Amino acid sequence: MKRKIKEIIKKATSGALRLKIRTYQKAFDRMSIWDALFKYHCYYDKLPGSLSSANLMAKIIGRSDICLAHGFIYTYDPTKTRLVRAGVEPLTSITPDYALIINSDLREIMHSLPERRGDNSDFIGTLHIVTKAIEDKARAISEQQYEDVRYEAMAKRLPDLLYRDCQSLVEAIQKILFYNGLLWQVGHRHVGLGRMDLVLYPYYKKDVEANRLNYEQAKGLLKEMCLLLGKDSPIKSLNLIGDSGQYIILGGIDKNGKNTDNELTRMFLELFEELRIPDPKLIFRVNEETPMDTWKRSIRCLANGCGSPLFMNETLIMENMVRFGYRNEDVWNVGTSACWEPLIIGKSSDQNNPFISILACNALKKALTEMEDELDYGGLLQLVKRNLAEETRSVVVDKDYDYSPIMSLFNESCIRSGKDFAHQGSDYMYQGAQLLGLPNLVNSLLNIKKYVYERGLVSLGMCREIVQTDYENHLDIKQLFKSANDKKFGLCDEDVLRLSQELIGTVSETIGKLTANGHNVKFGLSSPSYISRGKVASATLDGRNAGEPFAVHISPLSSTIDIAEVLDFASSLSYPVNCLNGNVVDYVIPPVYLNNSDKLVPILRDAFKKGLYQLQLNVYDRATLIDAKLHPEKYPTLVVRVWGFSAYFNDLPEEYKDNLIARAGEYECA
Amino acid sequence: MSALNVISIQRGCIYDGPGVRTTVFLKGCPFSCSWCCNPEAFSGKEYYIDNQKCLKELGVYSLLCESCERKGGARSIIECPFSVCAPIAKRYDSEDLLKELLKDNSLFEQSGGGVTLSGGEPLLQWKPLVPLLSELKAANIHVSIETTLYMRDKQIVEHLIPYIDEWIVDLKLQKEHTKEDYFYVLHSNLGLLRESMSRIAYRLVYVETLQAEKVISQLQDLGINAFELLKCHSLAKSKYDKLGMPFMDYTPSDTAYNVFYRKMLEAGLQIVKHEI
Repeated sequence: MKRKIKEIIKKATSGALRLKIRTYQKAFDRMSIWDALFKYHCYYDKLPGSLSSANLMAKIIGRSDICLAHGFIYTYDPTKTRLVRAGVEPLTSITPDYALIINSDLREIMHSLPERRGDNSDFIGTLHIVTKAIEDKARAISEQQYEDVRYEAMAKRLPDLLYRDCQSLVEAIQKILFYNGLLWQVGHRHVGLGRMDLVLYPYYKKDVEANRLNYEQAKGLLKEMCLLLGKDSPIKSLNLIGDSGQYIILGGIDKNGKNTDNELTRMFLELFEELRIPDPKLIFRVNEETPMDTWKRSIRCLANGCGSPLFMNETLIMENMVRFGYRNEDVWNVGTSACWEPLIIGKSSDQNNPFISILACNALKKALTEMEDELDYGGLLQLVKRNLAEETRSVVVDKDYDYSPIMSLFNESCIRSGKDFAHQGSDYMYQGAQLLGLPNLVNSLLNIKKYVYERGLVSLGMCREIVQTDYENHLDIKQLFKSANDKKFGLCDEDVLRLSQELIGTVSETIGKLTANGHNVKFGLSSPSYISRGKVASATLDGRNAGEPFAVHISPLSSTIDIAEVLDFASSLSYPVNCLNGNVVDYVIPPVYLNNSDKLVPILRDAFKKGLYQLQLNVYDRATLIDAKLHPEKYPTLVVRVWGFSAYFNDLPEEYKDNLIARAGEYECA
Repeated sequence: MSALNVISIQRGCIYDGPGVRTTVFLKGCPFSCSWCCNPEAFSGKEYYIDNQKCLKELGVYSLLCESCERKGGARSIIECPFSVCAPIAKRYDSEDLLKELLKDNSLFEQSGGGVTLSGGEPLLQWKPLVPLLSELKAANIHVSIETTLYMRDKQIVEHLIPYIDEWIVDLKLQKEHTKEDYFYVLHSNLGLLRESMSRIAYRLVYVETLQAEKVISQLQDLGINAFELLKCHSLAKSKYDKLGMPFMDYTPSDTAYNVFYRKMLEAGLQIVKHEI
């Protein structure tokens, strides 16, 4: 019925109207009724990239209110939003280079713009319009009256800050918040924060050396910054509350290849351990030189249940990025899109999640309907690979993207070339795809191999029926497929590894020949849509019923595979050069592990040394989650990691809660 | 060369010795403590029977079950395609086992960990253990052994001393299953370890039948003044079910456990308290 109504609405409304309805729905869901009813306003942009679009941005910037909270001025007003016309994708999941922004001089940038010519006229024009709006905004803020002297002082300094480097940590944070707010305001989504420990450290150091600030005071400032950024989390989030893409990246090397681990790295880890907030979130870039002490702090941070940090093996990732096409001199500044997809901070307008995920199991489903029963297993596997390649080709498509005058201002290539950040101006605009449900496909094929071809217990006809009828009349086979086979995805076994590798290889080879918007495409083994796509997918031959979630990233589907085994498995996989778009092992460990963080650290370090790509850990036991589902009032601050972000458990839809509980149960037995 | 009879290999262990360890559980035990969390070690059975996987029990019809002995057919339950039956132990020759253990060599190095032999009573398989121990020694891997030290033949213990870096002695002070000559054998073997300056740690599983006063005097007699205290738990229930053995929950109350713990401290004993 619900679907029917949706279809009728779809037919009766234009794309623009539907977009507006969805936007207002979200506002009503996630804002106060007062704000949603009387203050919320959508500005519809029919011509992104044009002068009128820039004028619209200027209008929004001018009309939006500022937020005074946590000691800073924030330029994001969630009740004003810019919608781009249907068919144009908003720019999502990019991270500006705040190091550049903090010491930027807006006048100097404008002076360095190329001359206005026919081919760059609109671009230069939009920059002028938006720059004027930014200047006007800063001036308007400075002219307002404030009761609190701290805001008053900050506001007075703001116009000047646009034209000079910052002189203190407070100024640096303020300048970040000023531009960050504006990016959200003009319609960017998932605005990343980047390497805050590296970026802010020089200002902290300057303050400390001048005896203006001590460790605790600086930590207080960072805390206020984080709380302010997280304040509008529900409206900043896309599908699920918490999915805002506000990532702070810690650790890793600097331009000279030295580890950047500094006092602010520790400060952020301590802060997140104390705060237990899901937004912003942390990503921790690790390498062999990452100090033991920082490792231990990050484990303590995880143990406290804030879902942060996610760990990424920067050495391996940087190597693969260079081999893929990113410049060697740029990869030191690797950041991520919203969750885990690598990009270069400030230089990438890479859209790493614009396509629907490649659904691995579709390849087998199609093969079963096409194949002759006489075909042997090798033949079936070839057919599956051919279909997987076809499925891959079908999801990678060209898209029309929004423009970004503000990002263009802070990108040298855009200024030099006279092109917009998202339209040939940025240094990189690779596109990213995601492979969903590889573990389900691997287990299904292992089952077919064993039970159809080797033992003859199940026929191919039964397999077809199972997919079509969701195991109706075949509950016995469900049991067989789900729990009897000892070879499963995640097991560091020659056959399992070979099969997984072959399927990854197929996608890699196919995607290597594809482009989107003229740019090379990468892919990853981590997709956020394991629940939403699972809901509408038919049964699979690993014992999964129709409608059930697919496996989460690189995670085992069996209680017999423990963390040591899956880490070994993931480290033994060889990631093709273009398999670069997030390869996360996702595991749930019981809190008892963390009483011995000294011993957990070497386990993780060793796995990264052996070639693990990324790791995301949830720390809780099943009993706690069940209790939290039944008594949400007892767990207002329980934070969990969902697909690649942290969220309050209570904010999650029921199916996500159930999925977390089920997975915690599986892994507790391991 | 005879093979080792291994119940399970558990990687990433954090409680069985220094650093991160791979613990090898070996089959066989002279005791049969009814609270044991590894009853498969002494059960004498070769297979687990998991009736929760049996479709007949679950009331699910399957053509594949028609030939099963439980339905009057000829196929033994051991052959059940639904894995109702699973072997308890796997036989490894020392070369294969070593290969398995070396998987975590770099982790051992990083964490200061190594291999722990446990069981059951690992000393019962001392003969096939020697070549493995010798390889581990050659590879410079730290070895702990968790044992009751209940081995009447002193020469066996003496023979193993050079290979073992740490002896974790699991004390059997509970009255239920103590062998008559337990204290005599333990005294004698402890004497050997102490003479050879071996590193020794002691463990005691707390069940409510332990009497603090008696334990204190037994520990004094044995010359033990520090030990790890483990609280008995019920996590092994499903194993008992799968072995067809009656399960009795020996999980002590927090109060009894804490009272015992306090009494030990008051007697001047040092205790590492493990909650699991």
